[in-house]
Amino acid sequence: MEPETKLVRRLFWAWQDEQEEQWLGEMARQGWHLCQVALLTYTFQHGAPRNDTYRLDYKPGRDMAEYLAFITEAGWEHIGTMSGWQYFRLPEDADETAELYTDVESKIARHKRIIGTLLATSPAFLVVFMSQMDRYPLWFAILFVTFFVLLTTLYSISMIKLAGRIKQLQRL
Amino acid sequence: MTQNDVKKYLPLTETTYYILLALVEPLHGYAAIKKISQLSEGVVNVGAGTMYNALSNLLQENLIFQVGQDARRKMYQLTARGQRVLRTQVERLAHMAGCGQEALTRLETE
Repeated sequence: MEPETKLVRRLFWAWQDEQEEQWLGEMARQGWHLCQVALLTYTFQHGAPRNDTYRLDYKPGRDMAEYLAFITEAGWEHIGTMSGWQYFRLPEDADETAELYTDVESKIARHKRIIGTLLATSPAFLVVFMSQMDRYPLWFAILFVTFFVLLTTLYSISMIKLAGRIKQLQRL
Repeated sequence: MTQNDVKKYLPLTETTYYILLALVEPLHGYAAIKKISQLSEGVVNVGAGTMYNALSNLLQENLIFQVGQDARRKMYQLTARGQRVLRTQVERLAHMAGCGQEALTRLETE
């Protein structure tokens, strides 16, 4: 018999990675083990409850195969990728450090990678919109501006929260 | 290489220090993680992500070089430059530990 699966749609913002990790660990303790990720979609497979550790790394782009081989050799399973985020699981019985990042410098570097992507993508929305401005009816422009303001706010919150975490790390 | 060139890396963080220590012999990243746990008697456990980043930074700074590859895994070892950085750091630590001992002795005799 195929194991029972369940699909959950849930949205986490860029600064909520730790909540997301906690949530995935909580699901595993209830017997729901993450087996696949897609945009805002988590697929879980039912099994015996386990006290596994879930960690997310933000690592877009190059040398991916080498990086994944390196992390999996250290005992982590790679579950999948969602827009630049890598999902890893460390089995409860693994004799390894249950963290991907263990020093201040590398934690800060990870936060900075996230901020870098936010900074790189945020002006893109405005540029695309401005270049097409005269083509839109008024209602659409208003809708778009509202959307843009909302998005900018979320981006700003993300960056402020991440910058806050960097500052906290630097104080140690 | 000038003395300043070495000094800009000092003091090394605990993690970087142990990584350089581990790479006095050719090792791949995971073996270095294990060796560091042993050397530090379980005190310093380097995460896989931290090790991956550290190796690429040290490589870029020319403190380590890629020795070869066993199966798919790249192996690394200290460069002459890396050795100099490590030696200077060890001297500094030895001096710090000496000063510390002296201070402790004084506290005990007072």
